[in-house]
Amino acid sequence: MSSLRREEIYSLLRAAGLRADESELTEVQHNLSAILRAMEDIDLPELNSQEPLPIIMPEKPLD
Amino acid sequence: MIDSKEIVFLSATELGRLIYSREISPVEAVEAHLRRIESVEPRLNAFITITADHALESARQAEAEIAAGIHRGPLHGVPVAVKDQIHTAGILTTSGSKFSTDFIPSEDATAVRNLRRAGAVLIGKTNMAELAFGGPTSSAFGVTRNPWDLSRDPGSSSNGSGAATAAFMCATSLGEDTGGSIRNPSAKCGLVGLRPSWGRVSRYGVEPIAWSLDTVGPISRTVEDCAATLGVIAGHDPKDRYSWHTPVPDYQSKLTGNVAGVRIGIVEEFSDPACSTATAPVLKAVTSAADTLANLGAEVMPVSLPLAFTAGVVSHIIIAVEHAGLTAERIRDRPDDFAHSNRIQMMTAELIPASVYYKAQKLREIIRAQTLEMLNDVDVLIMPTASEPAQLIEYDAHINSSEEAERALTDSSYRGLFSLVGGPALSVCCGFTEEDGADLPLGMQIAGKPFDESTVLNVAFAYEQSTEWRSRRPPV
Repeated sequence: MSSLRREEIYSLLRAAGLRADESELTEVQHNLSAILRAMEDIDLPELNSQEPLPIIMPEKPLD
Repeated sequence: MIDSKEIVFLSATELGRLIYSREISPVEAVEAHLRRIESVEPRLNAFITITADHALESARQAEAEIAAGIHRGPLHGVPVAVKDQIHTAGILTTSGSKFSTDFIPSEDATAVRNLRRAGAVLIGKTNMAELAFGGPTSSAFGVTRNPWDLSRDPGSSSNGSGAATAAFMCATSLGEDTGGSIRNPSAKCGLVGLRPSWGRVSRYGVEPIAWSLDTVGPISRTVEDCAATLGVIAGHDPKDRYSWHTPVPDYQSKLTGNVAGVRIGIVEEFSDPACSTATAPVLKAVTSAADTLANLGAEVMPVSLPLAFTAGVVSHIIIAVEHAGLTAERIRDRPDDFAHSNRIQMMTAELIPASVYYKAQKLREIIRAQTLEMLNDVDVLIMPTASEPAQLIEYDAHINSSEEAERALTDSSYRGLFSLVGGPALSVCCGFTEEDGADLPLGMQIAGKPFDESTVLNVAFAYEQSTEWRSRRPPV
């Protein structure tokens, strides 16, 4: 997925109701490719069993 | 008797003490800062709104209270600037954006309310990157310049709070830090900036960027000022359900400067030339700072956080997706009202697959657990705040390749790590480097366990007191 082509980026943007000119399309392609590649490179066995927790929950409220 | 021209060069807490002892009046203090603003602001563009009349009125009130024996604390009568992302009742609050050019809140953010209750005087609202997410030139109110070199960026996104504080246009200031927006300008302007623990300071009345990462904190010139400012704004607020019922210590009284026996881990991934992406001057400055702390009696040891460099992309995805959720209508209806850099980031965020966002959330927890486990073995972690000093302002910046975009993600790891962890992270000046004839400050980051701001501040204080960096003044 990290090597999305310009046409694919264009279609995805259109489907999302967004418009971009040619130069913007190129920048979005570079930016999204970088993000997807960086994430693909992270391959940890514990990811499968890890539950996501977006915030830190207090261990013990003080009042 | 203090020369009126020297008032602005006092630290916030020194000024507060002289106001309390009635050697300086709050009105004198405000007038001195307004003169300073008149002199240097045209070169820096650090403010969006200067609240001169409001400040003078507040100063007169503070003067009357102090004359009547009422003392509200260390910032009573002291001029403070606030990032324009933070609501101020009756005062324009723009978030640096074309979408809010006429937004005047009816209510103060809790952090501002706490400042006012403590008698601090609001002198102005500071410039910032557009919606705290755009690049350094994205503000709808023009570019803010770095007081150390006017051709350079003061660091995003609390650009104006950094520049205004470094240039002595306010005594201390507030910024907002989601992925590093307090620490980055603090490092690049030679200041002390603290991202507090998530939940330590109320976010009520702060324009959100990414709800699960946003924090409000001080940007100051000294560690004591940082501690005093944090002490004023911290605490539980029923209007922010995630602000915690945790007691707020007297941070100033805990600044002993004694670090004997304190265990300090220097993060190898960010600090060792074999794996760090930081420049040689940055690495040398942080290593030297670690030696200074060791000479003060701290136990400094190398530690490894293998996932450190993944923090940049993980924090970026979470911030971008959460921010895109807030701006979904705007990017469709008024895309041209975004700065170019922000528009690219918003469009990219819209295309990030849900599975990738979900993976980022899992990684957040793994990174946090790994780092908190390390903090069972050491009291604080140190590392560079940024990989390089302030860079030249690029007025027409574009993303020219995916490799360039990936480097930017990697670079944001230095600050993104502790955004994910949720504990306090502070940047303190640890030296200077010369580039093209300009002396540019460098920052060391000190990070600690959630809600242990006191230890982080005390380590920073011990270091600061044993160096002379804070005595340097920018050439502006």
